[in-house]
Amino acid sequence: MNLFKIAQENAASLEAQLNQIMDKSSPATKLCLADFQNWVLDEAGISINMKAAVLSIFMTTEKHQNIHEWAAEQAELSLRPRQEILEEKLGKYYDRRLAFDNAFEDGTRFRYGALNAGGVGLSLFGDFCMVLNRSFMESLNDAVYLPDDSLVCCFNELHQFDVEAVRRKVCPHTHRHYLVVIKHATVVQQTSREQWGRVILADGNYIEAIFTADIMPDHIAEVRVKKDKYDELFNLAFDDFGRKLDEAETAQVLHFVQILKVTRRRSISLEVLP
Amino acid sequence: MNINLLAYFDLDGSAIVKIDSDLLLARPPFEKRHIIKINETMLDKAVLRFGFFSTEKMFSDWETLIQFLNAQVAEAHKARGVDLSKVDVSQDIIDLAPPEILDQYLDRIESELIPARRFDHAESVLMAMIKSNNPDLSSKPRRLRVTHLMQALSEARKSDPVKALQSMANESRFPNLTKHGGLLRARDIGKRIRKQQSILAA
Repeated sequence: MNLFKIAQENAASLEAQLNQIMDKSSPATKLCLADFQNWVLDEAGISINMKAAVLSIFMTTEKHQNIHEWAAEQAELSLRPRQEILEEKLGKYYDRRLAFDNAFEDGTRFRYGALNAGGVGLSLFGDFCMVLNRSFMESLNDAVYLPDDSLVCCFNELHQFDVEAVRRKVCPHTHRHYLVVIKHATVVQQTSREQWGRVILADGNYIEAIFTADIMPDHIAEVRVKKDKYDELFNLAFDDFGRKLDEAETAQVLHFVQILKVTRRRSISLEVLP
Repeated sequence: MNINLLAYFDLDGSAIVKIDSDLLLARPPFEKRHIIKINETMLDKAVLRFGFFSTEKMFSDWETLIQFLNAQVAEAHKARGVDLSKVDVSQDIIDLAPPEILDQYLDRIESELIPARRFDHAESVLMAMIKSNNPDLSSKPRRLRVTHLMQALSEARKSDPVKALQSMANESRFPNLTKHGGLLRARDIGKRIRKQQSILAA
């Protein structure tokens, strides 16, 4: 199966769903939704949340790896089979992960991000939010969107892969603004424009982007981090002058320094958000 | 207490544990505010999306768990050719810090370190600032503040003879400088600054 082709085939259904929403809406609501739709096209890019270590390694090695590429590298270094490395890392999650990726052509090349029009993204497990630039967005040929995490919305309650759910939900790059309006039509009418970014993306609620294009540091528009995390890292670095940090603390400070160095060298903006 | 480690991230020591029926995300430096409750879906995402290693290991206390996590972090970095025990980025931090962070550091030296007689800590930070090429440290008010804090530190040291003797006898009071053999040079710079009242002397 080709996920990008399936998404194209679903475009007409998404158009019909949007038309239905518009038909049922009052003139004022129609205006608001049309405004929201245009705003999404203008403002929303793709972001990927990463831990400091992952971002630092990506920026210094200029190599962004998905889990399959990571496993392939580990296999080469350790001379162990790639599958064994993946099984070891994913444990009981191995089947679920592979069920999705192996269902599609080029599934092992998929990269996952979120549609982002402001904010620090899914920061619970990835404090640093890397936002890809407009030229990267414009160069995307193969990209699709899902209304939630594919490992949630494309699986049933028994964690079995549900291909029909994919067919119903997947959206091509050209129609991403349709999907956003379909998902958020009710909420957006009651939300001020300044809060629209949070409607699209907040911890636990996002539109997933899947694409195969390689990412390079040149594709980064900016890196965002919450102020409390940023301050915490500088405080840890301050402690480093007075006591011996343990390994985990040292690693955090080391990767933070790398991020500061590379963002400065490449003139990438590091945005510190409340 | 039984702590069941369900997932961890080897490059930074973050961990997801189960204690009784609670799922907790714990992040270094593992203070209370770094430990938060999460749900099963978040655990799934940590492994499936954010590169956590899935595992199942029991620990009898936090100390043993943290030791295990630190060992994983050291090992993961070693595999990438980085010996964390030899990492020293303290000078880099000062060189890269934006002005508001430099000011926060100076505030903390003044309001926390000197009053608490943590002279060595204060001196290490100030010496790194004196050595730094950070352009934000060359503004006149900030230069003066560094100089004044050096003086305040020196006076506070003199008024605490026991601490002063201990420090003189112990080279490790400048751990970061000693590591790189810069201690003597730093002392020399410090003397010149105190004499000329300006960090431009360095």
